[in-house]
Amino acid sequence: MDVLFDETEEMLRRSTREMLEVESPPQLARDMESDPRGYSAELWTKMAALGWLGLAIPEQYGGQGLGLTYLGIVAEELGRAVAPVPFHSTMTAALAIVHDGSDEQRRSVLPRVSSGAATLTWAMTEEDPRLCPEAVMMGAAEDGDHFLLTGTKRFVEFAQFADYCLVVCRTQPGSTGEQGLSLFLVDMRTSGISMSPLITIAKDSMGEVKFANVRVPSANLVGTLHRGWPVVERMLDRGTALLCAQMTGASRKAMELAVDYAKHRVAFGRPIGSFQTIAHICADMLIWVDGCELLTYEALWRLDNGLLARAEVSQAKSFCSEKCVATVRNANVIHGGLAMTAELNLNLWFRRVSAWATRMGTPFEHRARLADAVLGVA
Amino acid sequence: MEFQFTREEEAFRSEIREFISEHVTADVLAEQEQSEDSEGIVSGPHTKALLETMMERGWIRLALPKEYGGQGGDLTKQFIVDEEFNRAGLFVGHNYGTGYTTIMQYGTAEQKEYFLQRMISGDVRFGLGYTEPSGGTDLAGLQSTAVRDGDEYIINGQKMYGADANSTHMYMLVRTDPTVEKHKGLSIFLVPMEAPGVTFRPLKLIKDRARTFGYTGAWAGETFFDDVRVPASAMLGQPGDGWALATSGLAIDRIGVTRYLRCTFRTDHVIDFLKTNSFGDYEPRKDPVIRDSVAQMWIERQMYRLMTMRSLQMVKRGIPIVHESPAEKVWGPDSNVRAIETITQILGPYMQLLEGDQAPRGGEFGDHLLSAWFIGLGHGSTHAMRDQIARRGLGLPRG
Repeated sequence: MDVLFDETEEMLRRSTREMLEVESPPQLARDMESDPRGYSAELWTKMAALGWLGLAIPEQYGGQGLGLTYLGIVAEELGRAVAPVPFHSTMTAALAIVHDGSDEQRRSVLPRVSSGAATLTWAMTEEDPRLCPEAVMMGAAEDGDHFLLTGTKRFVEFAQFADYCLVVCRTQPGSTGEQGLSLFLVDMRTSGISMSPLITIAKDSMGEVKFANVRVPSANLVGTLHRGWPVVERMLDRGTALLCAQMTGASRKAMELAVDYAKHRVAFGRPIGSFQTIAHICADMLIWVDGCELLTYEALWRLDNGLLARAEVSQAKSFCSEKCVATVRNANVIHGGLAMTAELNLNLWFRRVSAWATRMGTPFEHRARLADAVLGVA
Repeated sequence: MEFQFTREEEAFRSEIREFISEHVTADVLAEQEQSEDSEGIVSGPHTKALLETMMERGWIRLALPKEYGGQGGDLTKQFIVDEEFNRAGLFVGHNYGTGYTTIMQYGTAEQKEYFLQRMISGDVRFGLGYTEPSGGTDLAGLQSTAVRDGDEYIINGQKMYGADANSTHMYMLVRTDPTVEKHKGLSIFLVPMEAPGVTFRPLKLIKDRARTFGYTGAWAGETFFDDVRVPASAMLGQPGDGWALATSGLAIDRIGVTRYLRCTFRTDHVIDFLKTNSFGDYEPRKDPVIRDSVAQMWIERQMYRLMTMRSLQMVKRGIPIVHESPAEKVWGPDSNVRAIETITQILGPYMQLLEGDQAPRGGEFGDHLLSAWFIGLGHGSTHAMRDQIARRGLGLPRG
């Protein structure tokens, strides 16, 4: 049992951080908030050149074949830098192809992900925001060697410029729950797809995607027809754990900004960090972000090693959603009135962490799932 | 990273479990329950025999150096032994910082020879002589004194809580030099409780049950020192070393298996209880609100487990522990209190029962509610710990 980083992991963390400190300053995040694309293609290309996009993709598809924990380290550092790139959405979908895609799907998509030529996303949520199979209503009707997808997906990250989207559909009309769901790899240039942006507090790229009789070849089915839920659930688990890493990295940075401010801001003739009321908030923030990191890497590690990880993913996300939000809020409070101003960079972290916490399952959803593991299904 | 035990460690755990199911008998557990001992291993014929067997197998103080009575074994294995026996209700997992580790590191040959083996066998049990009536968190402000008189020191003062009726010695922090800055004039003495001038008065605590159920027994005590003469050789380290010795011991006390288990037992136990019990037709485990609360407790418990594994690994790798030890000392006790208060909300009126057939798990939860918050006090209060995290871990200035 070793919950600490080894040398290779530490080296990856260091080099990622150093690169992003130069290439992804807060101003880049600010600039991309009003950019139609929503992310820096230049930074994306640099990340590809450094091999980050192929870290967890097998070598035969241009990647390095390393584990999810490595990807978690990159996600954590991207969160720390609030780097405006579609890393989370692309990796969430790409890993589903790595693990559950057909050879043909892997060949056509993964090399382009590794090289940075393609970005991916995934679409599950509709009107009912829960990430449970019952919430999926959108249908895909079999039509010869194609499926016709019709419906509306919400909260699709970086949908606007994504090349492919993994779409969860109900292929068995009248089915409920886990039965009758299938996952499709959809080329976003296919006709019948329209998009409208959803403006979030993070001002990152989020969209609603409408599918109107979108023809998808049967060969683009990921996994087994009508039995797509386990594939989807694994995709969500990996994506959730990566999101936790991203939130943790961003929260730790917000904490560091607050601690630094508390060392220098003077009130009543002394630095405010010398007051226990401030110092103790900072101490709690450190305990929390450390905890987020420990829970997150345990989940990533278990997923990596093919072990049961539902409980670990859910406990990480529930904890991260609560404690990361509390951390960035406390960072604001320590900054006082300044944190209300848009000029101070801190809001970049506050708005993103607050938005990210809402994605990939609420604490209530994750604790319900965890309770199934701990107490048995009710 | 490697978030699991090795095959060999898992096999070792199975061996321990098998041993426990055979040897930790009802007789042993009954002796434990009757015990009022707050820290050491209990006597009693069944327990004593069991401990001898464990000693033969090399499971007691497994990771401590051989020359000082340990086994020179691996820290993770020691963790497994301590975890399994504690879980079974036998409190073999001491924290090693106070007394053992410091004597090992700073004691004279004579002190090591006398104390270390006896601490392992249970013949020496140190009371922790830090806190005084004037306070504990302001440790360096303590009032007890030791004055040199030829080859002896004369000790006067009063210590609170740390010793109980079973303590044989006091690990005592006193002022030996009133002329210097307060942290600098302190020294540690290893004082026999039977020395003339030492008076012990037991203090009944607000909890009822023996230690098997909780963090402490039902009794503590206060100890008075009136012109107690000890040889100069009873001092640990040099005059003025007291603060460094006390804080290094405390830092080690704040990590490890003992507090971890004592802070997480109740969560495990209420889950066991809910899985197998209902109140008439009402099955609390099916109530969504209760399921949410239990999941929350479980998350906090898992985090504490990982924090414990983190410091264990840091010690193994020789990485200096900075904020991690006070962080454990905050999270463990605080989450333990949140857990027991949540259990109160789950069990409703049954929670208040201390005994009888109607009392869930024989009144364990009610008894623990009375004492769960104790854990936040000893070895540095959770609030003092936050000061340490802020200063050492984050570099915030002193107030």
